[in-house]
Amino acid sequence: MEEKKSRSQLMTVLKTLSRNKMAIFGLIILLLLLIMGILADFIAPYDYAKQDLANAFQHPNAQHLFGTDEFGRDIFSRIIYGARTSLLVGFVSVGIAVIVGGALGAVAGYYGKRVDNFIMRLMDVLLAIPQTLLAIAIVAALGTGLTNLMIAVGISAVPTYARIVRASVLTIREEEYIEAAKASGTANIKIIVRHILPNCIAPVIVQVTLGMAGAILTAAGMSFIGLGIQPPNAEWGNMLSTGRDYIRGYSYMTMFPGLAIVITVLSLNLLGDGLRDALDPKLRN
Amino acid sequence: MSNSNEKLVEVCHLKKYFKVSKGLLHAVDDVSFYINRGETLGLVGESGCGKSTTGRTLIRLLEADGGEVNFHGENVLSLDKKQMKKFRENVQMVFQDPYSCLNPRLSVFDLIAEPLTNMDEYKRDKKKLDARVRELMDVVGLSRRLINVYPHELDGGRRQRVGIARALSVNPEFIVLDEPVSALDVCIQAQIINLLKRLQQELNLTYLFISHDLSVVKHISNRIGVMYLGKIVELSDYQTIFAAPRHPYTKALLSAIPIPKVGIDREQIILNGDVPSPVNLPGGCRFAGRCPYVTERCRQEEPKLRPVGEGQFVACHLAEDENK
Amino acid sequence: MEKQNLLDIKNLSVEYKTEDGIVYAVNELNMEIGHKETLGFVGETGAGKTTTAMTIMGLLPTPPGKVTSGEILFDGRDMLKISDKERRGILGEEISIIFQDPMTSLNPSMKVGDQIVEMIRLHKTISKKDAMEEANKLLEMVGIRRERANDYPHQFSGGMKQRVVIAIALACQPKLIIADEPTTALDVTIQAQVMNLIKGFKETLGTSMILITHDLGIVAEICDKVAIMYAGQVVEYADVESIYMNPCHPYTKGLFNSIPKLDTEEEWLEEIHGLPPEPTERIEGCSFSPRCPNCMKICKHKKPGITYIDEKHYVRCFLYENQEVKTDE
Repeated sequence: MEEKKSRSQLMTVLKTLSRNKMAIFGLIILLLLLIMGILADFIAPYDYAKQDLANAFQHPNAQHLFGTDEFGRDIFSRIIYGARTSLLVGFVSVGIAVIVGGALGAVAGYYGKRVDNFIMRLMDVLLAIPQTLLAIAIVAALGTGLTNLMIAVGISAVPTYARIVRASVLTIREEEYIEAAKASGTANIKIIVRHILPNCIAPVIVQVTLGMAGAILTAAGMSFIGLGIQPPNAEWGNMLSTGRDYIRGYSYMTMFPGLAIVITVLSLNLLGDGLRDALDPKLRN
Repeated sequence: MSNSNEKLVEVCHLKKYFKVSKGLLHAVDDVSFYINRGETLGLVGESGCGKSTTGRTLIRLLEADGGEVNFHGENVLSLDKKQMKKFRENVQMVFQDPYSCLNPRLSVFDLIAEPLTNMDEYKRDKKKLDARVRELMDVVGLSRRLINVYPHELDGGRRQRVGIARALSVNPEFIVLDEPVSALDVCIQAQIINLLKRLQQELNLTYLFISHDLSVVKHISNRIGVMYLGKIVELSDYQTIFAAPRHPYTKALLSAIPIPKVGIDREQIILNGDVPSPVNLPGGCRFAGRCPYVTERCRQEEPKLRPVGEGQFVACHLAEDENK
Repeated sequence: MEKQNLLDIKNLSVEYKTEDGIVYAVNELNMEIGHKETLGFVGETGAGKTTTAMTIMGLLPTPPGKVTSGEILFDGRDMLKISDKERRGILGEEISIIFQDPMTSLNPSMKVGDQIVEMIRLHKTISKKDAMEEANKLLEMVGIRRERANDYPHQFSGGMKQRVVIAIALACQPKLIIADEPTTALDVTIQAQVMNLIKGFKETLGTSMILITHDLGIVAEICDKVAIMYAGQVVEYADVESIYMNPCHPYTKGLFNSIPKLDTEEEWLEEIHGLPPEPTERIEGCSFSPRCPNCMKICKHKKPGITYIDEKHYVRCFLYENQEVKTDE
């Protein structure tokens, strides 16, 4: 007998998402940025760190699409390499936050009582410190550099994910199928991994897209104040920072990295909003 | 039905309280009964009477606050973790709402296989597991082509079949059925009731059947217990409870069921008021506030569940007096 | 019959457009309700009961819903053709509805008295004070003390809330009340109280009612006529006595037989085998034929028309097509 083919939930979500034009626009921009970042070595016309003092402060022209900076480095190439850094920071720091925060939230929500109290009060303390300030403090302690920046931004976002996961675990914990799993003798850890986490993934996915935008902004901000990625490495934040000194005469030096940040964050937010609608079963049909 | 006189499950003075902001909620208060091997005990009552809590406390999905539950003569409430694992293979539960008791992200195969994957026997042997799941699907009448579909693609009746297959998978002796048909349409309900009855006969299962629907309970049970506010107020075999109910609440409950026939003349007892909240109950009989025959004694003294006839137990002062 | 019916539904078909295809929710439905009559509308989940009720009131969400044919004559007006303004005038004043779940049909942040007053003042121009007095009277009529008009819905139990909903439905003395499973969410003893109440006002006010339910017991208690629905169609329509004494359609018979009886002993319940058809599939022939124990050749490729058993009893089944009147089976 032929087994009935099942329509997976992923396909349903994608189908709903595909009807949201803004979200698809965001997704396409994001994919382009991603490809740009990955293939930066092949796309970028110049080396991002190569100085060419003779050609410094060139306004956008045919050779240098976005102009050059004070050391004659090609801004277009630096933007492309910057995409790599920014997206890397976004992915890794949010990854750290999701894994650490998710685990803490799941444990707190599932076991409840004292465990919950301890973890969540700790998160409350972290939440009481502004996210950027916390990241600055961590970088100040660990030192600057790409890795430390990602750790700092990641840790500062942990409480957000712990809260989201805990909240959805609390609802899902009361579902009858969790009780059914307990009644059939399933171990606690298996219940968390198999029944609870997959069902609270929807709000996390949404938060990841939106949080990635936040992480990229925080990282850019950190680099802007000199605590993140240091020149000559290409990063949109530090490009903005150096461009600031020449903003009167050479506004393009701040305009292009600024635009890059805006476009990236905007596309992530559009995608996040679309995903939220697509993943909400109440809004479907 | 092949029920012996061996007491498979014996519940003694079971208590379960919940702390709520206003005080203590007496969900199950001193409930005692037994179930013989191979028989079905029906537990009926209105919402909030503690019937589901009794079922859940019985199999330790909730921890009891007092009393004993003996299964095969061993107190379930004092089993350690390892013994509990063994107990879970003997006792299973089928839940009320087939729409919420199945994890929406697991396929029918995974759902039925879940209890099995907790057993060493099936953990390693994928082939054996696969064969067992398919066998179970046949037993409960689920077409094998549905093995890979997700619950949201199934109707209520089929979902409940998945729930039953899950419960049967570990070859239990005793199954707690918590309102297994109340979310289903009548025609599907009839199919599931017949399935449950057939399975009981074939596999010599023992059921605790919890429901608010007296006609369904009557159809499937050997004996019936009526619960009101955390207490069993009447317990007897199914014929007696319908032919000669003794507790005023049982009488009212029976007369409140709409009967699908025209031209029958019967007196309906319409109770006044609502079921009181089970938080901070006053002394005396719990039904006193709504009982049409209430006396002063009822408000003072709480009646105990006492035998009033052959296998019939009632917790009511009036029934006791009549008997004297 | 020359007497005009209060509600006349002729050949009504409604469909929904969904991703999985077109759902044929209601197919060529015919029924009528006279003045002061109560019609029981019985069927399983997805049989199209609620869709029909929503269509009568013009509350069918469009899209995805769409009325493809038919007319609904209420007091001589076609509900499908009147303007929105006219419809708003009718709803609440001439037709009102009691929903299944009293928990969600009341506004939790508004005193119940005010909710009734609002309903009254929407359709009548009277002072707030007079409206309040009327609201209090209504509450007393449904068995709630008038002091409780100042309470919020969460201070009432489920049964009491349903009484409030009934009071709101009665506020403008409508000609027709549509009650969609009004007691399904309630306990048996509370259900008996509410049914008693409904029976009472039906007699005193002379309101017509459509009672949507799946409980044949409730139908026997308070309805005058019954429409049995299956797959979007009324398969049998008759007086209560007629249908309970002499059910004709195999589905009606199956429905009766699958209920566990309180007064007789039976080892096995009679089942209707199989499941109702998927709403998206269009069955050639009679929609019940795949499950019917009396299925004949003709049933598989021709849709049965309406056959009258007697004046007020019709059935959509070929078994009765060539026999004029069949009394018992």
